[in-house]
Amino acid sequence: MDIVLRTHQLTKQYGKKTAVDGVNMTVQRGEIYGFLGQNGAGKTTTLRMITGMVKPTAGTIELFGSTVNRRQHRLYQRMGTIIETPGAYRNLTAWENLDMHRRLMGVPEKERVEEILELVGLTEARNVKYKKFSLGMKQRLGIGRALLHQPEFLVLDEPTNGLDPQGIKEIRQLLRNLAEKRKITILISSHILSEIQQLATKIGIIHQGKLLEEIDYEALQRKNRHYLQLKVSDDRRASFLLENRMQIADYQVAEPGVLRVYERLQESARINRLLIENGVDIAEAVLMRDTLEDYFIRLTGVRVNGTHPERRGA
Amino acid sequence: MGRILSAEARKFRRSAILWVIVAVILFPVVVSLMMAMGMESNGRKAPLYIFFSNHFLFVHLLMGAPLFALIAGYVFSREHQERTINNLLTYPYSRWQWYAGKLLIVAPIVALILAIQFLLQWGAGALYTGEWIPREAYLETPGEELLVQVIKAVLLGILFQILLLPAGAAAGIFGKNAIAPIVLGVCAAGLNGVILISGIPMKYAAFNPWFMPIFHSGMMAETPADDVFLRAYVSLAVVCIASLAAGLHRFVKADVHSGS
Repeated sequence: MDIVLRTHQLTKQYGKKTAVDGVNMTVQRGEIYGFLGQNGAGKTTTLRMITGMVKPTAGTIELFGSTVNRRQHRLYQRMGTIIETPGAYRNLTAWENLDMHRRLMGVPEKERVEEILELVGLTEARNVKYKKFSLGMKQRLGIGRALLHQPEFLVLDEPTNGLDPQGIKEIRQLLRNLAEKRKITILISSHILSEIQQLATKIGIIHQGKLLEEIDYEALQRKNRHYLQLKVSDDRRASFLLENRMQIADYQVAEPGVLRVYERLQESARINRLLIENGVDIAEAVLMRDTLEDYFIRLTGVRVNGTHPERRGA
Repeated sequence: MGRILSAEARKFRRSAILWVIVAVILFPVVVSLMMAMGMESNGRKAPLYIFFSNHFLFVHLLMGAPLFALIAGYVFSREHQERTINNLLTYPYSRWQWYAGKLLIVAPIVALILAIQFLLQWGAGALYTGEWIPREAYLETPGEELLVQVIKAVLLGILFQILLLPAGAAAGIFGKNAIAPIVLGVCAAGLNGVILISGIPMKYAAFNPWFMPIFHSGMMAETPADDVFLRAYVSLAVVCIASLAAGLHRFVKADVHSGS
């Protein structure tokens, strides 16, 4: 597979603060690369460097095999982008905004504007001025703009912000179709794990400016461990029993009253019996597999909402 | 560059700034007609010179400075305020092409505003007064050269206003909003007003490049000496080149964050 984007030791510093710290990222053709991190992790700054809006303090960016600098702006013709809130000219209609984009991108077919309006569900709003658009409509127009010139590579920063659940589902389906049918490579950033989980074929996890891991979704699935999840009446007593009666060290209190046991899963019946016989009620016992969120927590040590999980055992 | 110019022109469509431009074009005509009618009601004949000098007074010195600074700043600052700067910089054009394109589209707009205003002013004045040449402006000029002198004054006024556009643009680029160019323009107009009211000698007024556009209009009590002209040209060149360099450097080099 050929490489669409590769960064090497990409770094951005603002004074003493390092916003992006030596990121080595590789996006291959046809991939949907989910760029995952909390708010402030460095996702947008990285994407801004890739799209030429921010100059890296150090490191290099290769797009389509060419090293990017501000003189290599022609490479952007092959890209479609949404960085943060998409903007458009308030005094112009949806059609006029897209038509201006069409001309600037050198797309000769005028009918392409109508196709895109239909694709993003804005045909009826074609003559409505942008200033009258809702946030969801603005987001749709931004996606339309990114797609109009049929780019090879889409860079989307939180593209579903402001969309309702149905809109999110439609955009997800649209992106999936673009990747599958038109072989468009997509780099999508989000702090919403479920969004990335449902879409990405490869995931990069960034935390405090550092890219902690880049992993194929299939490899991630293989890597995620199975565990026995127990909802118990007393997690302290249950922990004591697991450690002292069964010598189980690899377990975790995921939340109050919920234990995840990662070892000796073949002895789940014995674990249940031990807890019940010692006065710990079990409301639920189920064999599960780590989710992307669990993996994210394991890597970063923080939940997606920023809190730190309580850890015991291994 | 053609695509950039076409896009920049389209961005003005239905823009609120067009109403301001219309107001600036029509206001001096209305004021001049009212002045002429006032003079006639007092039994004095209104000369075309009133219409001619009001073009320079209102459009160049008082209203033009804020308006043209605003237009030059607006084409840059609106990209930040409407969060379109993110889109702009991901087009396959370099930043200096955008900078040049924006200034190149503002220059003919300003020229057109000044030309239309002058023609309206002259037309209204000529129809009202029955005169075709503002003879009072150039008393020492032979009759056959009067028209050339008028055209020269108008064209140089346009040229000087265009050379001042980079200052408004730089204010818009640094301020990232329309306030900064408006403040610059209002300060320039205020300074022009002070010079007019207080009668500051031309040798000092020449340090203010926003006063330059009327230097050839024949409006001033004294014809400026050659060294005063030179001083005025130098101050205009300094402001033009310095703001052009500062604005271009900032626009080309600055990081763009959060659409701001």
